[in-house]
Amino acid sequence: MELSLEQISALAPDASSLAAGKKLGSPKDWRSCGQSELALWGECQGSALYQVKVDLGAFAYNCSCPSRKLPCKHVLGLLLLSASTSHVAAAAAPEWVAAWLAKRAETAQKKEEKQQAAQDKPVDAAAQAKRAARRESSVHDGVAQLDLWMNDLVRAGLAGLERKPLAFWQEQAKRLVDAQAKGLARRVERLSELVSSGRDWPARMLAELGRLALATEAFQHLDALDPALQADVRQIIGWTVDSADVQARGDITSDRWLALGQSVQEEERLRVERNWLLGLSTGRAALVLQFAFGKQPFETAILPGTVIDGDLAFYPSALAQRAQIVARRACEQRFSGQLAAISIDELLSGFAAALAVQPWLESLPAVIGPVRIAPQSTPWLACDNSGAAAPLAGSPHWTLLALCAGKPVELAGVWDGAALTPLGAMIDGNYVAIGSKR
Amino acid sequence: MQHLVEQAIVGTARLPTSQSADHPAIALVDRAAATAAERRLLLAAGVASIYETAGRLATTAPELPEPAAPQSQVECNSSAAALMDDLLGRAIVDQPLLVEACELLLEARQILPPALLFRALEIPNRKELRAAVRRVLGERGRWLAQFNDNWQWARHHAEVAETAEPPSAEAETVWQEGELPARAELLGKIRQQDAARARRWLADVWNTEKADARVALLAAFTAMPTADDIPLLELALKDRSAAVRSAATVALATIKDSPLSARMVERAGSMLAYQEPAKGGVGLALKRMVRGKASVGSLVVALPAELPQDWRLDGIEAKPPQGRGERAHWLVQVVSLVSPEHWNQRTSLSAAEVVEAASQTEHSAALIEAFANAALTFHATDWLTAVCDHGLAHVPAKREPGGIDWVNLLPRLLSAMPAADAEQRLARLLAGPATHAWDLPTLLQAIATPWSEAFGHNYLRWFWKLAKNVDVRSSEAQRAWSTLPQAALALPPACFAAALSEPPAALEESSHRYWLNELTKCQETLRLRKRLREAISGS
Repeated sequence: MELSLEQISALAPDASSLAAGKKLGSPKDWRSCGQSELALWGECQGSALYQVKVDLGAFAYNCSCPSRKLPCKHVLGLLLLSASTSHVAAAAAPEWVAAWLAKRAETAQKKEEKQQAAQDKPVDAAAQAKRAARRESSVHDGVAQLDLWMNDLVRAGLAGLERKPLAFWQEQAKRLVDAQAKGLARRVERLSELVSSGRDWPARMLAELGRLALATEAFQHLDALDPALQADVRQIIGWTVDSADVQARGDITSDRWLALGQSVQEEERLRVERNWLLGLSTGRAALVLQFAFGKQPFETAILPGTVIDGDLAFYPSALAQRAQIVARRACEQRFSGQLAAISIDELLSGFAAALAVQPWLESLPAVIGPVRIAPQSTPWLACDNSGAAAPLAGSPHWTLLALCAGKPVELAGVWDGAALTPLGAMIDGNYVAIGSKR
Repeated sequence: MQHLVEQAIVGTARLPTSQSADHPAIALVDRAAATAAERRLLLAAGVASIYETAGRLATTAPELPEPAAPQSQVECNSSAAALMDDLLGRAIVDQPLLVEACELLLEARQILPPALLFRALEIPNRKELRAAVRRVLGERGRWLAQFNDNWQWARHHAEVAETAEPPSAEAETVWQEGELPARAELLGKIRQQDAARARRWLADVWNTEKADARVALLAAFTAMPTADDIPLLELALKDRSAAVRSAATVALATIKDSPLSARMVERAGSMLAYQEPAKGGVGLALKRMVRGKASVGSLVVALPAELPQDWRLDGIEAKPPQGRGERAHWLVQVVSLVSPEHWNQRTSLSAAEVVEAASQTEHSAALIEAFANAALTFHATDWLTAVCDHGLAHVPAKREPGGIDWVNLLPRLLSAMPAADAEQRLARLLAGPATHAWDLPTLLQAIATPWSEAFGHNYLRWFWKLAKNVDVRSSEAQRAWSTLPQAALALPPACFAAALSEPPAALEESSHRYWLNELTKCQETLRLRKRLREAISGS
């Protein structure tokens, strides 16, 4: 797989790594470079001779330098060298590369065996049930306390919230964390950002409080809900689903998955990467989340605009979106062809139908088109042939406008019920991701 | 939902919730059997918000702009685009590299790809930078620029028709509403197409413009004034701003046979006379022939006791700068405004001979400075080289009181003379014994870039010789290393291979690491320039 220079730039952990990598992107710094179907490699002369290798199948990389940044400047330099020159010729992998690939395969095998063993391991059902019951009780107490807290807010009036310090929200969030309801804690923390955030903040605050109240109400009547919707409510509260359970029991779809786009947010010291994927045969949309602390790399490199031939296992939900990659067979650098697109009215009615199935749905990816961009309105709009328009979220989308040139395109984005966040578009028959937001 | 919001803002303690069941949300909540007013309000709000979201209708599309015209030129390839992306993101100190890259694109008839247009349009407000980038934006870039007021520089580059047709409505808009730099540039272009119209435009607004605007707009006429500009310039000569008067004075002096130039020639003649050489005997003539010296007379300087009023009215300032006598100051101002050719004709001497004669007078510094100013104003190449050679040969170790400021003058002279002449002089300097006495970076900055291949190799020979043989801690070495940033940008492609030689082994010592780092940075810039050429033009 060959990466574009934009995709390589998107891999860099920070600007200084990318700049350092660019300096190493010329042949003078490299020796013994080569590539095969499985790997790309080279030796870079720095303060020592560093061996750099890239697994092209799973897109993983390794360098013998002591840098803690991943990918390091040597990996970036090798990728840039390969992408922009013909210096890296096809060759048989040397022993140090073959040994690394073999070790990776062995590690993957052992991991799979370990996971299988963990699943097969007899469970102490009694202890497990006891822990589960303790958690249920703790969560119920936390939810009840949250309900009282929300009632107090409404009794006193939202107008008074402008005078509340940040600690007011943080303390309630902390109580929920202590009650093992981390999902609710995150939502309470987000409420603090709404205060005085615009003229209509009381309406938005009330809407969020209302949805939170519906969630706690649903939790208290969980048995009355469908199992799939129960999973959603539990996820909102803060229960997580073990990734091994997802693989073992979740629904698995095989397809060629186009990575529509990506965003990375910092939540305290935790970085959360959201990847929106679209199954090119099934039309199924998926959200793959990855987490990393501090400067640690994410487990898998998912590059916007590439196509991953693999299997996704979906988390249980009334409207399954969240998934994890369980098998990755190949990766193509770009998508060329046609994307099935819907009109704006279909987008809105589709979202309404989705809300009917999962009322707490926050967003849904879609490909709309053909649409033209209207840059002279506030906010910008995507307009289809029927005269309907959808607001575009985020800052002015100048690069999108430059790529579209005012012509109709198929536009991929994430609809949140009020606006569409663009992820990419089909430009002259090729999918172009707009660029990950970090 | 609005009703619920109002209740929530005030608080249920102050305002009981209504029992209205006209919203589906309330009915649903009633079925949930919530009893507390707060809980009912919250649940109703939750349901209502979901209803509202689900029931959202599409906005109506506004009128859409016309799509961009097809690109008439080829977009650069991905390797070149990556390099351009890197340059667009660099600090302003790397501006010359970006300008060079744009010029390479232009030469190859290529333009920036759409993905880079936003960054290109957001570049800092530097005239040379914007001028270079503007030319490689293509139709798509100019189309994109219409949607952002900050990007009008990309469109308002005064596209005045090459014919004598009236300016377009867009040009009128720029003239009436644009910023001063755009207006000045526009006026300059109209001046080239229809000078009379340009004069009329300026005359119409002259009394309403501020002094700095008058100076900037007058520049359209002071660059290459003609006799038709005399009335406008004489109006400016009476301006209340000294800067405007000064600009007008210089412009009028350069117009052949203008009344002011004739007055200045007369005044200069009253202060500076030429005395023919004494007719010596045959012996003296033979001596001169043997020594190879021409018969050169002498210059006689006679300064007025007071500054005449008519001189003041023509822009001659009475008060001198610090360090110069006032009468010498009048001499400098007047002689600066006389074409140096006049002295060639008056004396039948070459420029070098006149300069040499001036150096023998008691007002040598004033006279030579005046000749330098005149050479610059009237673009007299032989005078530029003559004064420059005099400076390079005679510069004292320290500037004397009232002496010529060669540090600032030499670069101006080098910049103004043809590149080949300037390079020849610097090449002689580099080959000479005392390069450490000169501010080499400033002198090198003054010559046109890129350097010629010959000069590039001259420079490199000098540099590598110093790098290998001179103590890197010496001031001579420091001056040499300080030229590296300029060399990185000025060396021509034919010199890249010689410049990218391995550094001397001695630089690996830890005490020399600073110099090695400077050389490494220089070589990285050269490699980048090489990669740019390979990516853009394949050469």
